[in-house]
Amino acid sequence: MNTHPYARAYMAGVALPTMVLLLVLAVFILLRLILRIPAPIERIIVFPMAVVPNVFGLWNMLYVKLRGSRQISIGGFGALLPFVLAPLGGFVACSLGFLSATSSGLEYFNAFRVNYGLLAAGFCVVIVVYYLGWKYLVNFFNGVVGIA
Amino acid sequence: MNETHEIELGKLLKKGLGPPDQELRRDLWPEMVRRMEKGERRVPWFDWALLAAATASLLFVPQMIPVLLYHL
Repeated sequence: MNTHPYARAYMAGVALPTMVLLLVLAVFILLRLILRIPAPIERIIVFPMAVVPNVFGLWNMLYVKLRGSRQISIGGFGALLPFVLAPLGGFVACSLGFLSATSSGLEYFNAFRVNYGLLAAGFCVVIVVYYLGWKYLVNFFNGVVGIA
Repeated sequence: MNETHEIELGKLLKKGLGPPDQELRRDLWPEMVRRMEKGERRVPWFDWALLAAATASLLFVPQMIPVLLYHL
């Protein structure tokens, strides 16, 4: 079981966001197709569907590579990922035209406004969730594929 | 140190340490099983506190949930 450690790291990293993606898709179907909310939220789904799982896989590959030469906490390493994903997600959202920055906060679909304080608090929660998710779940999947 | 001294030293050491246990005094397997069960990874209190804080934040400010779903 010592062959292809990076391929196995990628698969272990992809597992968690793929599971969460099912939840995101369920929420999307509920909101858009059943409750028929007018905002074009299908544009949002591109980022969690295409980018986030791949970044998780690549981040886990990087973790496996770096831990060979130094002592790294997997939870701490995972907690750094939102610092990459948040600007990337913001960039994708701005590019697709459903996010704009105002003086008081961010505006989604020119309808929902989120102030910067709430955004900062949400970012802290995301970091905590990533820390715990990587420490326990991604680490567990790494163990399953034999690279923990 | 010559050979005679080494033999004497060996005798003194044997005398000082006493005879080794020839047989086990008890069955070691139950203790081994207990240790293996204890070996399960324990979650530190700090992680429980973080989980509680994150859950409370999501309950009190549910607007954060879309932010979380978008980034996971």
